[in-house]
Amino acid sequence: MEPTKPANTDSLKLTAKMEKLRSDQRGSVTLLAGMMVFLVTIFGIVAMDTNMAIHNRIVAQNAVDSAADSAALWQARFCNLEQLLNNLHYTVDEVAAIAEGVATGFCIASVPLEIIKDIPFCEEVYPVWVASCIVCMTLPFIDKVQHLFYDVLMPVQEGIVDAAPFIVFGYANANAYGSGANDVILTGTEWFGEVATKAVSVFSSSGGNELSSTLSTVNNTIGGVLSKIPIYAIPLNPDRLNLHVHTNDNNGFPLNWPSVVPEIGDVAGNIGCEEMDYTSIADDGADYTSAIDGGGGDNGRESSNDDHKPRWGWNDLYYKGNPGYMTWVAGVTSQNELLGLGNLSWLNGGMKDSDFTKNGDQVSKVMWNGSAIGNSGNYSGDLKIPAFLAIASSQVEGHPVICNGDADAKPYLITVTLPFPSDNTNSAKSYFIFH
Amino acid sequence: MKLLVASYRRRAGEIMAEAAIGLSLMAFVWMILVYSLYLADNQIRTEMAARYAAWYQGNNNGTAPSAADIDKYFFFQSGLTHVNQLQAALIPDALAGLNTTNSVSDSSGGNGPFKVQITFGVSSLNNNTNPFPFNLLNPSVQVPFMPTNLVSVCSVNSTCQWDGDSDTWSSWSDAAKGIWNTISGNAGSAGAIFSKLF
Repeated sequence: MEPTKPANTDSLKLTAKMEKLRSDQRGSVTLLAGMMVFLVTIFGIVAMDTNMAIHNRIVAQNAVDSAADSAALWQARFCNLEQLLNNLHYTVDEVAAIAEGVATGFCIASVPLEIIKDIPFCEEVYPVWVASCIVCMTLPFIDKVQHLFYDVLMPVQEGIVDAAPFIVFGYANANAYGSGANDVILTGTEWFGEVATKAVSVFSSSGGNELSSTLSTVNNTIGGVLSKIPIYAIPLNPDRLNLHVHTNDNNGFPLNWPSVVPEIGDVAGNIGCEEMDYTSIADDGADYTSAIDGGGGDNGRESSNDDHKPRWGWNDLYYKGNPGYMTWVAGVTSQNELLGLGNLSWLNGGMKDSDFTKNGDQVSKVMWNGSAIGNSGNYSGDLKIPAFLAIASSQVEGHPVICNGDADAKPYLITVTLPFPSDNTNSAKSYFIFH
Repeated sequence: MKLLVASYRRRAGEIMAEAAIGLSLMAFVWMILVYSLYLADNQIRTEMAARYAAWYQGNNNGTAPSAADIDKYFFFQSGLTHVNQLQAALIPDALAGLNTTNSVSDSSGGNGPFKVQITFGVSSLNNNTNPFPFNLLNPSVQVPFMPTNLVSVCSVNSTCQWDGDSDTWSSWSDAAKGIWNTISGNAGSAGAIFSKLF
């Protein structure tokens, strides 16, 4: 017969086992190491996601700076081109006026010479008369050349003004694209969804609502009409793509060469050089009032000076103005964060809207009790590296396009300047934005 | 009491072994993370450096900054930076979404735009003149088990494009050259669109 075990034997064994288990340290380092590796990995990923966000933010800012600078550069180039053509116009008119003045002088001189050469013993004057008439006969030619030059020049300058907005926009986009910007329409949509709806109220009194609605308008317009073409940077005020260089009435010599001078020469030439078959401009059959010849409103002559091209002399228009400033936006779209951990809903650290209140009272709930992965419940979305929309302003500096001067327009990046409120087109607000 | 002592004797070295494995794992993860963050930080620096390089080139008639200058201004290590000129995106490239990465000397004739890629890191796993950023590794020793085609994980790069600010067409010769380069450059890129579409 086995001896009866004391009643507390099992209890003592259990206690001994527990004591042994409690004092057993096997695996504790591995457990700690595993936890530390997990934590370090999570913190590392968060740090790298932050790095990526900072990187994307810089990419967005670089892209929009590059776009704004490029837009101003191309406007400066076109302004300089207009200025060079204005200077050429000025020089040609100056030379033509002087030449016409000289020719007129010789025409006038040819009148007495024409008489003197026929006087006996004054035959030696004949070569002088011939020379005078040769010079005099250039008078209508000079005038016609000037008119022809003007008729070629003005459409060229007008063409530059018309083409400039497209090339400015194209190169701004090319540079934004080359600098890493993404589709600005997509970026803007994401950005407004994430940030702007919260931020607009902050500066709504400063035109923020206007900015929002303008961006939406630009978005709708460009997105609808040009949805097939990727756009990487857009100006907040598309009107600023224009050079804002327009035809302007001249201020006198040499763009204004009064017809009276060559008319006197013409009359004198008809008298003094008739024997040399002097051909008056009145006899060449040209219709100087036709549109194709610069009259009748062609080439911008319709502005304040509705005179048709004068038959003699000229009264030219010239291009004048400056583009002013532009403000551009470009950005980078959102990205999934590293390893896709943002798709784990519980990392969002939020609650479904329905969990916030119960019976009208705010209640505490578990951090997350919905689906573990993906966008579920009322939550707005997964954790992502956000979209970044950056803004930059630029302008052309130097002399504006004037009648005659240095072609010294240059591009500059300036303090961010918003073209709002738009009810006053002469004003704008500047904002310091810390990059 | 005897049993307890014996038990400890049987587990002698276990904690050491665990520590060796666990701490090695932690050290490995730590090194990987430190290196990854090191490169991530330097990628931000490459982006800033790329902007500077492209801006510099655009404002200095197409003259690119030297790698030494980039090192001096943007990085803590020297000798690990490469300045690479890429073919700039022109209007047709942007329209077609073509991302050219061809290296060029200067495709714009000095007019811009200029696209610059700044690379920071080793370009070869076994290169004495291009030391690995970690002092732990001898520059002349290849990273263990790393195949050559994974060298890209040892470097980061960024690109930026800037237009030729220094060429504002302020003279007839500049304007003529610029117009020609603009037309010929975009025409060349337009050909790339057709080659992509058809």
